Amino acid sequence: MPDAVAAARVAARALVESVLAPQADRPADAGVLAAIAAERRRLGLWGVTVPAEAGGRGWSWPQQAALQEECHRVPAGVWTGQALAAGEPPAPLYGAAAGVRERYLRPCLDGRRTAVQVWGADHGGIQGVWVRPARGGVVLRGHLEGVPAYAAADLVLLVLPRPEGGGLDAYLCDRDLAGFDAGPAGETMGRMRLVDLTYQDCFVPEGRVLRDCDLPARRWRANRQAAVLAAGALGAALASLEQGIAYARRRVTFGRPIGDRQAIQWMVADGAREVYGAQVLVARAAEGGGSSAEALDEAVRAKVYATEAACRILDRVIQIHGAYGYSRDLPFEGLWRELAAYRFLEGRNDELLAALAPATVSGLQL
Amino acid sequence: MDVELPAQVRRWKDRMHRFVAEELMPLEPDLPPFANRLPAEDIAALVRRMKDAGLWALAVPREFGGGGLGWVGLCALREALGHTTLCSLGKLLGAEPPVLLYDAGEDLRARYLLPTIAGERYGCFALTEPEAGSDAANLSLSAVPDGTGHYLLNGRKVFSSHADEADYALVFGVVPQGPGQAGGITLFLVDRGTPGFHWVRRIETMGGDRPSELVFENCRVPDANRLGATGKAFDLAQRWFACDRIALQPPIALGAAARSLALAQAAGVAPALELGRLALGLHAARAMLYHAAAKADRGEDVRHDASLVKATATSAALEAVERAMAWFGPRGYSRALPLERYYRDLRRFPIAAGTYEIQQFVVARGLLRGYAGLDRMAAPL
Ligand SMILES: Cc1cc2nc3c(=O)[nH]c(=O)nc-3n(C[C@H](O)[C@H](O)[C@H](O)COP(=O)(O)OP(=O)(O)OC[C@H]3O[C@@H](n4cnc5c(N)ncnc54)[C@H](O)[C@@H]3O)c2cc1C
Repeated sequence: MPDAVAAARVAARALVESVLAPQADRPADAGVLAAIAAERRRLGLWGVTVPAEAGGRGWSWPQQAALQEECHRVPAGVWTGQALAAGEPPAPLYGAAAGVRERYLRPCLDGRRTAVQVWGADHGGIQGVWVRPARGGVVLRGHLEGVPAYAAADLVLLVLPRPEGGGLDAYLCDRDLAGFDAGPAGETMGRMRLVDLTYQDCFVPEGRVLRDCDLPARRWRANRQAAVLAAGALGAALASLEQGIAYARRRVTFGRPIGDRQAIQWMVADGAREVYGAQVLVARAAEGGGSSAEALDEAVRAKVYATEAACRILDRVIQIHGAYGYSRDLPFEGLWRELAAYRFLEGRNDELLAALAPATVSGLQL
Repeated sequence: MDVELPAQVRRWKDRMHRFVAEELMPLEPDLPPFANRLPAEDIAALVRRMKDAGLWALAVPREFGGGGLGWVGLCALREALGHTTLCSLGKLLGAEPPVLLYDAGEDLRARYLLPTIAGERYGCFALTEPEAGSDAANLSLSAVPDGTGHYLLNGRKVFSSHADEADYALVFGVVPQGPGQAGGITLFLVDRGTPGFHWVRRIETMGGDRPSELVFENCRVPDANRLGATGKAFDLAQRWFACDRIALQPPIALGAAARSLALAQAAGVAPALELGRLALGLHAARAMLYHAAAKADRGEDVRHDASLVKATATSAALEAVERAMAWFGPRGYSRALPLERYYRDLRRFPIAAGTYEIQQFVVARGLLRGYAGLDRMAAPL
């Protein structure tokens, strides 16, 4: 393991010990999130995704993946995946004009605001936001359903393809933007809340449009897919499977540990194969760093593989623990509920898979 | 998906569907996310309306004042009930007394069975212990005769569903073997409020079922409250559990899955091939369910069938609900649709009342040891 990645793991473990593990049972309220943010700054885990030129720490993807994997080994790491979005503004902001950086990037790095990138382009395929050119800017109109409302996010970078064709633009949507409404947060199966974004003839002045941000927007999405969702799901699955194995050795029925039974052994072995696969894919995607079209695809593959596998593994770990696994005395049912969202965050797995199928199949011929 | 139900059962099932649509579904938003309860007055009103509609105690044998629809009838009613997320509401199921009570003598029948059928009393089932789940014979709760016509119960029970609302518990305990006295696992009816019967806590779960932990500390239970012979609790259980295994979880699971697939289909989010595959799985599970229930009504041994049906129906249903949730993406994950609730509630089925692995084990053992034969499983009706 390169030194920098090893150091990332050490720092992540310190965060887990000092603040994530002790918060396990608390709701993700503002106090908890503030405590996590303060500790991340103290440990140098703030702004890690942001390049040094833009005022961050410029961690490599393997370092970032190691951070998330370690943090997700405790339940609080999973539901604070959203807390880890604070201090990590989306990539399209890095290269923006000085005024935009001053107004949007800096407050994010200072921790005064939190920004999220929302992919409007392929959201469900049946809905969306339409862009119409107007004098001095554009007008947005449309509706996006079920957008993850990251805790306290107050800036949305809405990414859309340019109507006349060509690349992607991003629109900086503040709460104060007239005609833009992030409806009330809806409850879900997990701790995450979802909002519906509505644009009612919403005028966005040119100064808030980031033109031609294909590369940074795509790379940022791939970064979330590989270094947060895939790596995080892997960490949660791995740590849970370890606990499942320990329980299978301990729990005795009919005079023998349940781990002596093939019904349990198969769950363990299936889980191990999937953890292995996820480890290899996450490592490949992280090393690729989203630096080419193929590397972007590899991030998607890691995301789909690891998040699907993690849900199956958690389900088996619940089953191994019997009624205790189903109860909230143990963390596994809650982890399942959180990880189920990873399957649609940053792209729905079924849509991602379908879009990727031709490239994946032709890759197999090489 | 059509199975041929006897005309009378069909009629009652249709009425139950209407009751579900008109009376229960509108209350779904009131169901708390992690509990199966509604305000007491709502429950009382629902029970009243269920009785008015003639839907109460329909499957209870006529000799106990029920409608005598039998196991097929019970499955049909519960399948309709599965169409609402209120399907696991404890007191609505009060219409179905714990089946072991059907074996009660005159006295216990009058004190427990009949009031339960009338909806006046409500019982919970306390078998599982910290060290005795799948391995139920490994019980340690002791029931020691104290020489005054009573037993002293000492021990701990976990995961007793609805014990927080119940008036009495069916408690399994071990009577020690004494000189000239048979021992073994024995069943007692213990009233809530009996000194030494402590309700400890609700165990929160993934879904709405919040089973309780119970402690018995020198809890004195009269011999008259012993159900069945000393040491014979599992003989009783043998007789009844198979029917329970067929009629309690599978129909609820199938009803819930059917509604989930219908929602996905109507919204146009279901890939055709996947939808077809899952629907066929449910169709087969349902055919198996009613086949087994009909056998139970004829008094045939359904122990092998019960494990096949439970494992097939609950896993097919859970997969269907989980897929439907995923097809809907973020909407399926949100509380705006019933899918996430169904998933969380149905996830208990492959664990509670005999795990999936134990059903598989029972099926395989039966075949490998020759108690059951493949050619005898589905003899023509
Ligand atoms: C929501 C809920 C409600 C419940 N309600 C009640 C109730 O009302 N009353 C009551 O008495 N109990 C109730 N239970 C308890 C339930 O019956 C037990 O959970 C069940 O019998 C399994 O026992 P266990 O949880 O101890 O798991 P264990 O027996 O410890 O099993 C753990 C795992 O090992 C597997 N396993 C065990 N033995 C073997 C074997 N020989 N071969 C292969 N695999 C094996 C199991 O399948 C499981 O995956 C409830 C449980 C739940 C979750």
